[in-house]
Amino acid sequence: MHRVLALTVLAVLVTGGAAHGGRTHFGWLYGTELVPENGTEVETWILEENKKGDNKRDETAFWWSPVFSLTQHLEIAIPIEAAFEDEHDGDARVHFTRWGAEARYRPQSPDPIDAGPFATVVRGGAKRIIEDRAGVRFEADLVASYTSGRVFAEVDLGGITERVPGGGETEFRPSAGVSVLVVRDFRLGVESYGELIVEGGGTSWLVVGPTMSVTSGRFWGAATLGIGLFGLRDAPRLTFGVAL
Amino acid sequence: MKLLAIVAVLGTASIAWGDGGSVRGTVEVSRAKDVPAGPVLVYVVGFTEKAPAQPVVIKQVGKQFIPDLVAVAAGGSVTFPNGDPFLHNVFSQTSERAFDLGSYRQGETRGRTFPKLGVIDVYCNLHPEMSATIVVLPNTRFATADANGAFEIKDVPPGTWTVFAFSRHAAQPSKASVTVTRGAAAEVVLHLDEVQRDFAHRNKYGETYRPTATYPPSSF
Repeated sequence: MHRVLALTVLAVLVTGGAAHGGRTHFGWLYGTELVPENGTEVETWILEENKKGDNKRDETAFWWSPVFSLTQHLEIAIPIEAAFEDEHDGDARVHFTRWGAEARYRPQSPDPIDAGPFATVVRGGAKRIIEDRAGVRFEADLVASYTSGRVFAEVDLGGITERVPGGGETEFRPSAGVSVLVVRDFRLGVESYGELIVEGGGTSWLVVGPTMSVTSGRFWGAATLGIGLFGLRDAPRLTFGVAL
Repeated sequence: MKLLAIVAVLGTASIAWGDGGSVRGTVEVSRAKDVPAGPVLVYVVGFTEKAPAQPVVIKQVGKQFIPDLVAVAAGGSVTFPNGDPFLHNVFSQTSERAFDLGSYRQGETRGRTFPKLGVIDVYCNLHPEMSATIVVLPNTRFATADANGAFEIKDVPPGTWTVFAFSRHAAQPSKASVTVTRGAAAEVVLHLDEVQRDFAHRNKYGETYRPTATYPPSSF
């Protein structure tokens, strides 16, 4: 992951260029921009949770989705997710975990000048748990951002709940970040993200770390190296999109 | 070869338009060979006015922006109705006002406000032949010269101001100083050199446009 971050920084220094919507300036936080009307992007997440909990569980998760803009205010994604999970019990494996759909709604104008400095996005999703045919997962986020000159601040209050026969798990996922425009479409900042167990088993954790983002032509990307404050050692994440 | 369009300067007349006067005169255009005649915008700067609430309209018809040169006071808005039976995607990468309206269908209208002064080049991400220019000005004292180059800008407040002539084909706008007195018409003659421009540009991702396939009738 560190190599990926370094390569992304290098790419920023030699490219840069046109900006477009649908991006986030943070690794763990959703953005408040949407894909331009009737546009399509392919969005990818690659994230790690390293040395989590008492058994030092390691996980790398992947998220892929086309994101379709239906109107100026609404876009939908149809993601499929996979993960490598190692509990250090000799049963490490890669498997598809979920697929489903999510909608992201921005009530303000898609244009940052016409919308003003304050913007919001409401996200809701429903996903099928692939290896538990009766299981379902619901996700929701309320994202709010404020822009002042070169500074972009954002809060993302999210949560997920998984309902499976005989049990379930619910997490509160608060996050916040500040990003500063350094040059052209390259930004640096800091962000914090946590997964706090409300119901069921699992380990609560919280990270804070540096973040960077770039936009160049059809590409936008954000990367962060979350350093564990409790619950795990670190949680780096790379999020990027390519407009079609 | 240059074509020179010269129109006689109108005589000074004493007229009353509220507390202001007017600026009128001609724009003499030296036009290089094969340069098409286009609109010439004349405007006065040096004072500010609030933009009217009514938006300026640039239609999209026949894969053209009509008109392709408009002025708007800072804070005003421009709308872009789509009159074609296919999608258009209006955008600008001009640093003073970059925007992307997305793609929308015939009969739909999208628009943007323009809070900063500047010259904004506007294109369609789907049709490279479409281009227009929005000149964002500090006030509403502007006019378009007629086919002979004559113009008149009314209700200009008294004072000494700078008047500009702007054409999409001119490398630089021309300017002159003008003193406006109450109830009088100040005369000015401006000169513009127009050269050939093809308005070539890249799409909103900074790429060259992909060629559009064309099929001869014999293909069907």
